[in-house]
Amino acid sequence: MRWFNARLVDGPFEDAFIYRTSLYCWTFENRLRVYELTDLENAITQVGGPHGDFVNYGLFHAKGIGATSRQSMAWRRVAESDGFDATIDIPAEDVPYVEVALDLDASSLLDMLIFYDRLYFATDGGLFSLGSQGIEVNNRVHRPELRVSDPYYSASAGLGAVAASCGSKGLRLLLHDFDSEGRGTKSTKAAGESLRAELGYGSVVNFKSLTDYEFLVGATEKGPRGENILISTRRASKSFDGPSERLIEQDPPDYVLWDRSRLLVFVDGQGVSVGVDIRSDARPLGRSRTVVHYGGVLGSVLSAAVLKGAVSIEGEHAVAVVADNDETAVAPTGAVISMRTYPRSHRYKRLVTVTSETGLWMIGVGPDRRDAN
Amino acid sequence: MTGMTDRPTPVPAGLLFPVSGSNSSYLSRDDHRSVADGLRNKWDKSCPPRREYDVFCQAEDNGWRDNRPQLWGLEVGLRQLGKSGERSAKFPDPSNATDWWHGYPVSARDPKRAIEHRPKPELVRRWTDLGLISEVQRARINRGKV
Repeated sequence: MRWFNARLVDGPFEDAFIYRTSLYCWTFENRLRVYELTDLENAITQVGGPHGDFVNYGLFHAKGIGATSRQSMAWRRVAESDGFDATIDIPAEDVPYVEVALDLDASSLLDMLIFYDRLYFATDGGLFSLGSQGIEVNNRVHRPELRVSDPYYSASAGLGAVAASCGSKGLRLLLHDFDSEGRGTKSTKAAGESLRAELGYGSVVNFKSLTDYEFLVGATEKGPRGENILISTRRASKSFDGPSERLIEQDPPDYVLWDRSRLLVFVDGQGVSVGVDIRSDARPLGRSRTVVHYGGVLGSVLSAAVLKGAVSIEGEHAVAVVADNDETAVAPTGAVISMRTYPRSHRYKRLVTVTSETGLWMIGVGPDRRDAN
Repeated sequence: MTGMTDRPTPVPAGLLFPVSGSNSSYLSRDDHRSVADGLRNKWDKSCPPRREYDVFCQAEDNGWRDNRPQLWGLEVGLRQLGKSGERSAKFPDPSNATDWWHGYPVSARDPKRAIEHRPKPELVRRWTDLGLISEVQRARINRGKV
């Protein structure tokens, strides 16, 4: 597997999220910095020379979406050649950006999210949201709307809803949050203690720790574009006790995540896929199989996320991207603050963004030979 | 630090540091030392009772508490304190004013204590402002990675 990355160095980056054609960064000074993709690409081409076009395609234009013909040619050339790795460092201050202040009654950001053109900021002062339009004037002060006042640990979105994990105050759901009729103004408590939650496939999976999960069964209705919209949840009907459940109980994993009707369980240097029967209200676990190996590459796992054809795994001092065929690339990021992938995005499905003690990393993998065509 | 010159006394449960200056009496409990059996969180062997006590004194002197009934402690640069890599410590408020304080190293990565062992962001910000930890370390504590 080839891997490559562009790194914004010497920047004050606590978190980052790429959306449409902008990279939104939260700085240590609690300001929102926005880089336009074209400016990032120009900087990468300037510093990376002939490799810049290839890296730009790989990071920002999966399947050629929005790519220039020069970038597409560069990608094909590399796909047809033998191994190639590239790392391109860009001083963060050398790329044009817009930076704005946000008037939040909070001391720290704990998570950020952008969904349907709306930015969400999970902070110790609550969950705030702000439309992504209008953030183009430097130094303007924006006043995001306070959505829920409980301190938030993380925010996630799916099924037309936003899930906000409020620690001991529980999991709160903003249902219909993108409804044109404005039904999504109130949050409902869906579960007790919550550190993070993931939505999808008719389920909300609430995590009380890195590994303790509970299933909520979602009821959905069809939205205006035929999409499934979450309208309510209830606890899974019972706690199931099959072989896979017992295995997880006996050998506590490092990390668990919910991905397309399966749990991905990281334990003893392996990522194990455990099927979940989402037709049953009990959400019983089904067969399991090992899908990636990372033993000897990373120690214990602090977080993990899925991208196209691979899994990105955060260790104590590095991020490993492990492909389905077990080929592994390790980015020496140092201690990580946040790691994100964008599996729902066509354009960024091969991208991992990481903020760490060594900068803001944008890591990509590929191409393999089938991508040359 | 006021406790530095006070000689601790062995007691059945551990090593007792007496009241000293502004600092309360503190018991370095044997069951939280690295050689003890059992599942309690343990101080690392590189963090002997005197260092443990100093972490407590600094926490008490500075009033490092959030909205829970306990003090939080750490050292400059987040040096390791616990046997399992913990870099912060928790000192629960004694049930009675006359009881001895005690404490143990904690980490939000403890699978069953992810919320309980995570200090609140406002307190973490104070540590950053004092120059004890970097911005990256502050953000990582807030996100339960320490």
